[in-house]
Amino acid sequence: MTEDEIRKLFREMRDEPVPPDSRARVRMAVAERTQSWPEKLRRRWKWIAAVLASACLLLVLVMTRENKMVPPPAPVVNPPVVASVETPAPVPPPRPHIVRARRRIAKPRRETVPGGASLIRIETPDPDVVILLIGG
Amino acid sequence: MLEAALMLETHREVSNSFDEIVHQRETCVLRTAFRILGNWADAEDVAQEVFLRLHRHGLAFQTEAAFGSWMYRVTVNLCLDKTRRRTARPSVEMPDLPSKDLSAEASAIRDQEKQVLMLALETLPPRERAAIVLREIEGLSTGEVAAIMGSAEATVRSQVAKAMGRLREILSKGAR
Repeated sequence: MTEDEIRKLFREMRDEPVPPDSRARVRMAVAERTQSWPEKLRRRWKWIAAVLASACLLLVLVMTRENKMVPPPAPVVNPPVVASVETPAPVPPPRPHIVRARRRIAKPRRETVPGGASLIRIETPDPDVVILLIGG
Repeated sequence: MLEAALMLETHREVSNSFDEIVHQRETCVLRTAFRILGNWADAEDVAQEVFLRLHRHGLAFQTEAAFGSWMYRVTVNLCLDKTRRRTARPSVEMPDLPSKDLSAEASAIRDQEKQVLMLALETLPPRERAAIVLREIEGLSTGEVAAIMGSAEATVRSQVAKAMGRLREILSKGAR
């Protein structure tokens, strides 16, 4: 086969038809992938409705089943172990400041007893006790 | 001209014009991809990807020539990627060319010759194959092919000449 013959064959191949199936497949695939979301949703509304309905049904089933179930016994909750912390001793209330009156100790009085002896009388805080010193 | 006018349409009409462009160009893209790849399934994959890229590109071309060149460039690049991903090139068994004296129907002979030529094309290295498909089958100029393939015109000329030589050799072996 010469180069001219090859070229002639190539030129004939230029106008060869493309299989219509291939063209249709390409067009459909491109349309499928370039369609906007609303169009896709509109086309698949039956599928979407079916999926939503089954999801709702499942949800209702799960919820009713949960209601029928006996509630499990309440778990025993152990009181939390608190670390022994020494409570501080209660602080006694502050004593009222009492101002005591100063005891006045009477000064010993020197008295003269007839006969020349001196008598010293000392009064103690106890009124019943009186110290008497008798001197010559 | 029609495509240039389509590109000036409003955003609302972009989707319609895109469909029209797909309709107009699908044959050319599919045919080019098929000649380079050698099977329709791969050619369909490539054509899909070309149009998806066009959709993403947004039809923003200044001239129709720029648009046509872009389409060819994307098609060829995707085809070359696909051939690169193939692990090994299948060894093609060349059937004998039909003898013109023995065959009764000339069209049947012609079809067989084309099939043999397609098989011979598959044996060429991918870039040579792409160059000869664009130059000889699609009928583009050497400059256009060079722009599409991103190489110098001299390189394209050399690739086409080498490819032609190999085809002649293969087909002469088959004719023996």
